[in-house]
Amino acid sequence: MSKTAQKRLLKELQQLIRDSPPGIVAGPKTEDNIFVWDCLIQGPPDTPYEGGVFNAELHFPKDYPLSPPKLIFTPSILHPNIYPNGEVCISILHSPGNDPHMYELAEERWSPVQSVEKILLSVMSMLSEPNIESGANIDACILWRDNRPEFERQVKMTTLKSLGF
Amino acid sequence: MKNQISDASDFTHTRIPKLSQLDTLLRCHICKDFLKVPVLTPCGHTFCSLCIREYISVQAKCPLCLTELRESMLRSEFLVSEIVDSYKVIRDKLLDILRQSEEKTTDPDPDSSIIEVGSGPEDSLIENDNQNDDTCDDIQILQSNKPTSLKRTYTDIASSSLRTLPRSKYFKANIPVKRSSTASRIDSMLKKPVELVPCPICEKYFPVKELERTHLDECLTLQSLGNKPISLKQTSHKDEPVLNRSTVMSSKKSIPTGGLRTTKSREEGEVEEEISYVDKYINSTTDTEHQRLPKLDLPSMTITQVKQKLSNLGLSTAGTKQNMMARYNYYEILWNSNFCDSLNPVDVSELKRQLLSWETSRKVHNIANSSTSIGNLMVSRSANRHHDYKKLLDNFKTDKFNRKEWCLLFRKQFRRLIKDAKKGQISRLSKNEPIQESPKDEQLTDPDLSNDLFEKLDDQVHIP
Repeated sequence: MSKTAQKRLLKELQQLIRDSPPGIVAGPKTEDNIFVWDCLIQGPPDTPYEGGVFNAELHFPKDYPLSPPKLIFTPSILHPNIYPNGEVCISILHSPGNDPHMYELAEERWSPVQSVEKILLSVMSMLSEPNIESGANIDACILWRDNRPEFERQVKMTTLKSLGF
Repeated sequence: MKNQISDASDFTHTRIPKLSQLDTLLRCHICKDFLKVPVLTPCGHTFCSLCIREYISVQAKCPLCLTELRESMLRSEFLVSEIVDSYKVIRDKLLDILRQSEEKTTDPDPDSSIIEVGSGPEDSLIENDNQNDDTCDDIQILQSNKPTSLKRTYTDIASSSLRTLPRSKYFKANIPVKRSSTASRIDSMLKKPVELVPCPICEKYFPVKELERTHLDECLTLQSLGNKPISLKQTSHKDEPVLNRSTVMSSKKSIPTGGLRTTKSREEGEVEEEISYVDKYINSTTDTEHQRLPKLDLPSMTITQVKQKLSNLGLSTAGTKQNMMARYNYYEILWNSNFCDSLNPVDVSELKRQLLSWETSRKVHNIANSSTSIGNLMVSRSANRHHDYKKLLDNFKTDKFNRKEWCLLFRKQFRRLIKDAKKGQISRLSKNEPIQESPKDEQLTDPDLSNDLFEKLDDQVHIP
């Protein structure tokens, strides 16, 4: 079982190395454990995240690809769909079995045909278009909805800080 | 490790980048590997039997289109299975050839002339959608064989020579095309790369086209008149196995027995196997001897009932009810995938071995975090070494393999091997080349070195 997972992860890694989508770098954190990946995600242009490079960890379950991986931003970033602990809450990372919020379409959820690349692309689009209906960080949701300039200011501040300014 | 992982993008830098689509299509979407015992869902999607069965046990839906799916709905696809198998056999060579010809194309050597344009049949499959008007006539003339590929060769030659006139080889190739009003010219041009193949009846060698157009008929007529003994030989050219096959089949011969001869001997094995895939497909039947294992409602059974079920199948009844349920469920998946879907099922003992390795990989995963397991191993090492080594060996191929423990366990043998190896090295080289670092502790922690040693040790392992 974990053999299947390993093989598949190696395949995905190879694919990502060969042609990774722009703005995304991902690979195993250490050589001896392929179940934890480090990802660098570039902040999409025309968003408050623009110019930032965000670090995230992908944790794959042993029965991957039957179950989805977990994506955790380290450190966490301010975003309506990212829990304060950094965990990303988007539909592609939820297995169709459990729907904690009951408003995600089944076809948007995890299935083995998805891939790391698709997850990271979804995260990119999540960064540019937060979905406050299934918010994970309520404060961020409210801020984003009621006081966009302040939200953007805070995001820009943390982005700059993360880059060492 | 990377070399072992094939990927569809292998083809993107060859002469036929679109082959990567074929490569992708022959893969399972769950494991991303080539389809292994493919099964078809009612919604028209194909997966590995094991992959989809495992997935269904988690989620009763097609992973691609999310329609309802149950295990009983799966149907095996023998054709796809054989297509994948035969493709896997030729894949590496195909890649080699395509990469080579890619290099050659960029090589401005004028001597590598016309022959190269069509040196392999793969070359003639270059996709090129620009069709010049004047190609159409030629297609008609040539269509008896492989109209598309011939047409494409021609178009490609023509258009690429127009694009890059200085390329002498294309230019050369282009000359006969431009003046061609007769089929024979093109034929002669295209025939050059075509190898001679033996006639299935008289076993003489002919160019493929001649053989198929005229000679086979002649030969058959002659043979039916003269009542000569039939010698069954399969005609084949490696890019046209189906065509040749149908020729032979239509001449009412029994299923060919292989024995293809092409002038390039290195292709022989490959094509012979391809034929056997065809045979395998044609002769394919499902296993009727083994019944499908039913899905059981294990949770509602008592523990004795579950044990009964397992022992009836000859499975271990160790562990908790949870363990036994998982064991039965996985065995059921293995069994059904093997006996219901596979074209060449393995026997029950192999299934049990697979079940065991699955279970150990699970178990190890569960206890992996508790370091006590290693500690326990250490304590009992001297007392029960044989047992230890078996336990370790279980994970030999997984990432859970306890390399350190293994090194400790066999350190005597390791040391001896290192000593032997050094002796050999010294006597062989008898020069002052740096000898491999020696102290045993280093050896024990140096993974690369011990990896090599594992291989050497393999034979010795059976001694304890």
